Amino acid sequence: MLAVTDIVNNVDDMVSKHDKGTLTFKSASIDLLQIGLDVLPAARGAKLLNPAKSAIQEAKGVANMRLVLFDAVQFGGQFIVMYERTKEQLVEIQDKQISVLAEKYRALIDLQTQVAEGKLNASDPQLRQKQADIEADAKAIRDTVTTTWTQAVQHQATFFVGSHLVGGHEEAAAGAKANEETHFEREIPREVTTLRKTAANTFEGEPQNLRVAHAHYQAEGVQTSAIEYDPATDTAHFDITDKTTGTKTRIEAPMRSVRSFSELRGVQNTVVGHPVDKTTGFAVIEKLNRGDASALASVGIGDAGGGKLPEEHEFGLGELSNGTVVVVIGQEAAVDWAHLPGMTPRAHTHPPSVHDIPPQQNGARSVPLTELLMPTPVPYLAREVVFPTPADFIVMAHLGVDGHVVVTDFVVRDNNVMKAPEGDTGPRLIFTILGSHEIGARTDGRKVYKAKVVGKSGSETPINHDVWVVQDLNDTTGHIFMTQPADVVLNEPGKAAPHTESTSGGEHATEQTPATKTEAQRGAPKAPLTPADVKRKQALMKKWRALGITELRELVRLRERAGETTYEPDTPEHKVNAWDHTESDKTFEKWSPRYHRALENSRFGLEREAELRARLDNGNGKVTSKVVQTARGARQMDAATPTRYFQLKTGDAWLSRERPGGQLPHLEAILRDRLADKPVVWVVEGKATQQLRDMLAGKDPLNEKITGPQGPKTPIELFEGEGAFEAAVKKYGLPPKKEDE
Amino acid sequence: MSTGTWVVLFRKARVPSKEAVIATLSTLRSAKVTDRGEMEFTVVTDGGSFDVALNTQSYVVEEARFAVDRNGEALDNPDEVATYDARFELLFDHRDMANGDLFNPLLAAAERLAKLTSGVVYETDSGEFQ
Repeated sequence: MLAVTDIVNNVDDMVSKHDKGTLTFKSASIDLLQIGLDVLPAARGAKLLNPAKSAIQEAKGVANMRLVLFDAVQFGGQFIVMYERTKEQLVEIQDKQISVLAEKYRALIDLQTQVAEGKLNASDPQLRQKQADIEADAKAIRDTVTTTWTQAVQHQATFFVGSHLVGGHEEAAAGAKANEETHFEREIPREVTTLRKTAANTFEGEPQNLRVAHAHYQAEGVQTSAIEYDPATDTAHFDITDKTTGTKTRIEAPMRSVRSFSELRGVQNTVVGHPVDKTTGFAVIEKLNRGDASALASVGIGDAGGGKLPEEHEFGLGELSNGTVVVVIGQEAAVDWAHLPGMTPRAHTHPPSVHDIPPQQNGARSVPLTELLMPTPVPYLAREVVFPTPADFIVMAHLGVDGHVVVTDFVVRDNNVMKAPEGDTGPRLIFTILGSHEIGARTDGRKVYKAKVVGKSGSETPINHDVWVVQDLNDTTGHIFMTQPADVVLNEPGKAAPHTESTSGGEHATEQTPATKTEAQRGAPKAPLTPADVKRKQALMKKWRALGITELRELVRLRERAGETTYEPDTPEHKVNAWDHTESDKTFEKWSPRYHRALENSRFGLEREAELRARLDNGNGKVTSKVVQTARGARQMDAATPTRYFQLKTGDAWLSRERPGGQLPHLEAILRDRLADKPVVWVVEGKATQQLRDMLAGKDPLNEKITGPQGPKTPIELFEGEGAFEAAVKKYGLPPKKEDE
Repeated sequence: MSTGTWVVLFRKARVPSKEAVIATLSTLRSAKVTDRGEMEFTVVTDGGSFDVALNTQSYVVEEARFAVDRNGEALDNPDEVATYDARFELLFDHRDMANGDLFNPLLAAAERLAKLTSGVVYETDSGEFQ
């Protein structure tokens, strides 16, 4: 037996020296009993030291030359390392010869028991024959083990190494997370270690794992071709090439594309039919989004006829390397491009059954185009329904895709955007996402993406705007804004934004792509900032609300040079501009907190209103804001459920005086609530004055001259104080929508 | 929720004339003041519009006391403010305020009405005396 005498730093070092034949050994000893009792039973559980290099070894023509380590067995602080093929021989000895021997040994024991019980004569020839068989088998095993072991040792295929070299082996054996002291290559992604060898120089995995494997081999410095989808073989694949021998090993994934209409049911994120040119592809998915299954004939699915398409499934187009496209069927309300390797996401649909504008104040499911494009301080649901979704922008930024098309069923009619009315065969809104890229992050850590979105309706282009998407914390979706949000700290010019690779909920990783475009590449700043300027700007931005006017002006100058100024509310430049134009007598120090409080209070109130609607609605799609007509005039209800209306006050609430027009004071508001067609509920999260409470309870203020129509003085339900919001939601929130509704 | 309210609290004895109110509000930059009768005014500025209405109802003093009890710690003269029995109500749309341009004219209007009446400005929604 040999033991490693080199100074090797770790197992990688040892494997490398072993591969090069530069490892040196000294004699060591192990007896046959130890091999039999300790080594053989552990053979099956021995761990590959470099499992993920299978494909690379294959390319190098050295398959089965990998090293394994018997981490479950130690001999005086030494582990046994051997070639995988030697281990396989030992496994065979253990599994076959020793198991046969054990069977014979059990039979011998039975015979000896019978002798002891007087049922069998001790000189019975069966007994002697069994003993002879066992001795012969044992000798054969000893010989085989000795031969195998001796040859392995002679060829330096088995040797001892110090256990210090494989520190962390116990953690590795226990499945602990990788650390640098552990040498079982545990940082290799599961998507790589689960590749199956299907033929010489060919490994196979699942489609959704291919991008991860590809990224891994690229990161390993292996010569790696791009991932391609080959319609002829219906596989996606890439090749890795050994730089020395030129040997190629293929990593592939069968795609199992849909070839007939009947196969369409139940599949998701799958190629449908054969490739077509882009023009045809766009025409196909547009027709599919209108429910016309016959369009599939263009991609070779001739039996679709008037068949019914899965209503809520999206369709997409994946562009192949030769410029043609394949139609893909996604899943309900999504396409998970991680399952579609070897193609660039070029387009997808937003099915009409999934995307519709929520009812507006007048009950109509349409919004003026101008309203859709108007900057809003809070997320605007109608915009996020009509536009490509926030997730669409984020995924395109992650994948570095420029020019992704989103086909919708919305139309622009008389400057209003709505879902296409039944029978409307006119042009739909078709969006293109251009240059989606991460520009930075808000101070709370949420990433911010910027893109241009172009919406076409036939030959018209009613939408052509920059948009900003602020991610949610999971980075898979977010909200769309028409202006750059306040607080965003931009990435340094020219520095690639760090990429995450998730395309659909963070479950799947995809190929690592370089940053598509940075802010600097998209628009030349007036005067590029030096690294020191950038650092200064970021430092000031982090605490901009608390800055004095001098530092605030400095920040605005830096933002102007970087091309970041928007003059939107609650930005440094808006604040400086507001201060410069204020007519207030206050000093900046007193004016500043009032500026922020006023804007934030209004913004918070509007957000809280939206939250109340969402909480009351509970996913049913029935709760909206609504303008109710009363005999005294219109009354804006913050939330309207099927049975009640709700008024929300996020702070204290006073009884302001009766007045028929203009902004509605609370006294007049209550008078109108008494005339509403459904009971009105007031939710005051602060404290209501006694006078307001009295009026809500039906007691009008003394001496107040109330004229005009009046309703019954039925008490109006009031939720008040810290828990008012939750109490109202608990009492009046709709039950969750059932799955089958 | 869409209506926000700031008030200027003061003594009823200091209620100004309609002309004085219009003159005061008209000093705001680019302001157009409409007299709606009964001491109610609409002010339109470049930053948006808001309404101003006088309220001298008996409950005003009770709500003044309420405000002082809740948030009067920042005042130099809380006991005095708690006796104020008149107020101008400045009513605005939260959406205009959130869009950023209404703050300056509203603040200036409140400050000037406070100066005219020797009163104090109170933001009822946020519970802050200015």
